[in-house]
Amino acid sequence: MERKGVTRRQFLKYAGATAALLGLSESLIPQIAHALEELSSGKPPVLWIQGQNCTGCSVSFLNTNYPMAAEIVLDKLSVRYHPTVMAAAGDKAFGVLEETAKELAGKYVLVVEGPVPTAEGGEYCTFGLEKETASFNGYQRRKDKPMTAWMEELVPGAAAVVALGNCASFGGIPAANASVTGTKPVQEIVKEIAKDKPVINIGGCPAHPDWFVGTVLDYLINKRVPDLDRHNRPKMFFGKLIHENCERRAAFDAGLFLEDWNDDNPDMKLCLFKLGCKGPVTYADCPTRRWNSGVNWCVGANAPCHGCAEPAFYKDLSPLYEPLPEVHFAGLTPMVDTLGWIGAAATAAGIGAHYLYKQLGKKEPEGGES
Amino acid sequence: MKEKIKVPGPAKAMYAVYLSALAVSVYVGFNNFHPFLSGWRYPWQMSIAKNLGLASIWVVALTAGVYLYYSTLGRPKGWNEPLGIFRAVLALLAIWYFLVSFAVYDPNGWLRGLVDGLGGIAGTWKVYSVFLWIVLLLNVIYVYARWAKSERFPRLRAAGGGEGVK
Repeated sequence: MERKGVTRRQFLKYAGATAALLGLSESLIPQIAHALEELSSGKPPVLWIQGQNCTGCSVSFLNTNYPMAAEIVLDKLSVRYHPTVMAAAGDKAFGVLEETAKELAGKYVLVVEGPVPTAEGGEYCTFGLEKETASFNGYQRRKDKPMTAWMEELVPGAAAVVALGNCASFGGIPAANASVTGTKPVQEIVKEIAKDKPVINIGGCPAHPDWFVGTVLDYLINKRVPDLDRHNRPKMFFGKLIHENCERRAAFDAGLFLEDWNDDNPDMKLCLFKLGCKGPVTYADCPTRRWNSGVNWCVGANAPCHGCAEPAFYKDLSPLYEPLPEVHFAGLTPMVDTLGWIGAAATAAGIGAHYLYKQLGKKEPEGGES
Repeated sequence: MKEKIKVPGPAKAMYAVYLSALAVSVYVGFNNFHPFLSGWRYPWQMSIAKNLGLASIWVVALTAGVYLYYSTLGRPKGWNEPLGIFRAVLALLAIWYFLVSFAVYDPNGWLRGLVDGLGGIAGTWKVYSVFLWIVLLLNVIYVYARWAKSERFPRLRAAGGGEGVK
């Protein structure tokens, strides 16, 4: 550390920032410092591959501050393959993947960004080349290597698999609405290849850099998979409902809603529920962690939560700007409350009509009541 | 002249408890999950609302279970209260309402299988919202129908003696 110009004080400060990221007590800083020292010398190997993705999760990861992405890639971890940031290309780069799978079996962490297309033999997503050749426009050339083949090669030797982003974790946008590419989330593919291989799902579109860095550091510090919820997401990041911690919760409780995007007073911080906020059904720590180094988050920037950390995203939480809950009935998509009020009016009318009918049709008993 | 309706004391008490707990659970449910009710503005009140909602749906489910026992295996003698089938439907609905409510309050808890079956948290939320209205309106209809079947209808109080009193 000294050789790199890092003083003891700076190093402990750095360990403290890591503790804050993981939500740990300051009393654990010495242990974190020790683990980070070990990481610096040990450099656990990481392979980062990309499937049907937009690279948004990589971009998000590259924005991390504590620790800086460059430090993680170069110093703390040995990220041996990352298609967006590595300098190598072609056979040399893919050779690293194959070598790592053989030489460091059981030691490397496999990070998968984007889900895996399985239709047409997986040809919707290929990178690198197979050794066999095939005829292509009259020429013999090496066959494209599909993502499915890479998964079969890399998953068995991985110590753990991290599915980064909603698409990798749950299928996300590529798997929504009858995917023509036969998209499957990473955990399904891993289950087919190695049933007991641990998969950590880090949802989000994109995934928050802290969620990824915190999970990897937690795994490396504690030498075990962190506590996961039933969707295999780390509980430390996905354990709280956004709605419960939302800065606009008081507006929801008071019935103060933004009804129109053209409202001329956005500073009122009205609840965005009626304009499609999915915070009430989304588990993530966005309201407290915030994005871009804690600067802001979706709701804080007057945009409703789209529920991107949830398995239901995108298919079951869209349209993005339509409120929950709504029902689809005879071509209409009214809110449940609209139907409820109609039902309540019909009930009141029915009861009123019955009461009047009984009253009007009632004969006075002879002699009347005394 | 209508036949005198006899309701055993335990059944009366059970229905009173059921109706009170149901009213609390429906009110809390609308407060927690629907945008048109206001109030409960502070976090500690939200916590009370959630716990109250959970406690009340337990009471609703237990009293509904007791009713099903009374009306089938342990039927008291002389219980000639009308609308028995309607009440059985309400009791079964209350048990379903309990399951959906619990799933929506704690989607990662022991009813997570039900949450998955209903299409995840968002799907469970929709089903809960629908059943909140159904439970409310059916119980209102039952209360009116039971009143309409009673001796005192259209008065609120019995003219003398009162039904169900031996």
